[in-house]
Amino acid sequence: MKKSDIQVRIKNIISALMEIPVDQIKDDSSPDTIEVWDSLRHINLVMTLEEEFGVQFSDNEIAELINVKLIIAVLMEKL
Amino acid sequence: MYNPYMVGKQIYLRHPSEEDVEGKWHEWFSDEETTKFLELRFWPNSKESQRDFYNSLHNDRTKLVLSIVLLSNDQHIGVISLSNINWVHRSADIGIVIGEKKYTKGIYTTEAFALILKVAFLRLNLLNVRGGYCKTNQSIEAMLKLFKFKIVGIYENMMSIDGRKEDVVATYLDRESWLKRNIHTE
Repeated sequence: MKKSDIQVRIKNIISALMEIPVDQIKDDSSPDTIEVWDSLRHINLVMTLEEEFGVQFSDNEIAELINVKLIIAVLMEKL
Repeated sequence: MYNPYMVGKQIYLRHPSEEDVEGKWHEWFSDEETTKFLELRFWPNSKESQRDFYNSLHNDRTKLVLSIVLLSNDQHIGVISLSNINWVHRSADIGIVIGEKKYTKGIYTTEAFALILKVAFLRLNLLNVRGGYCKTNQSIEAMLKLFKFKIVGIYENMMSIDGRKEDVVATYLDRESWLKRNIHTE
């Protein structure tokens, strides 16, 4: 799977879970920059990514998923 | 960073300090919203009570209470614990409170959970960590699910929350399952 395809899928997932337009999601978007990105939505995001991409994150990886850019990077390494 | 015990990327865990007692720690356990799902919610807390609790920790090997501290500025934002540690069965109960509400929003709870599980299974060599939660506490339910805690049963009508009877869900995570998910990154 190409990196650009993964980026699009991840941003679409974040858009759906955060209920915000996909064009508002940037690489540096995070709980600090998106008001509705609370801890519950963050957990749901991590679990949705595991389900959608058929991967399982380690605890260390879960702690690294702090913005869109890092989510893409961590996920790319597992695919 | 002062007296770090387990260091993450956004936070670190350390033994509570005198400064924590003098700070806002005691206020968190009087706050209605913060204590909504805690057994401690019935009685107001005080700095004196918090000091008694703090002093009780020094020689207690059945309870590990750690302060959650921001790496960026050393702010004490919460506490996480392993309590009822049983050294024969090598099991414990997990608990967490993020007292500074600004930080309940971010990923600090998630990282604190990841760090305390590492403490439990690698430093203390425990075999099982239990987690119980009130059925309507969506945040902790999601957190335990994320870290692959298994549901083992439900205590029906065990808690009274806002005048309603609520079920309590009992879960646990065993060391073998945790190692399978994490050993390659250690």
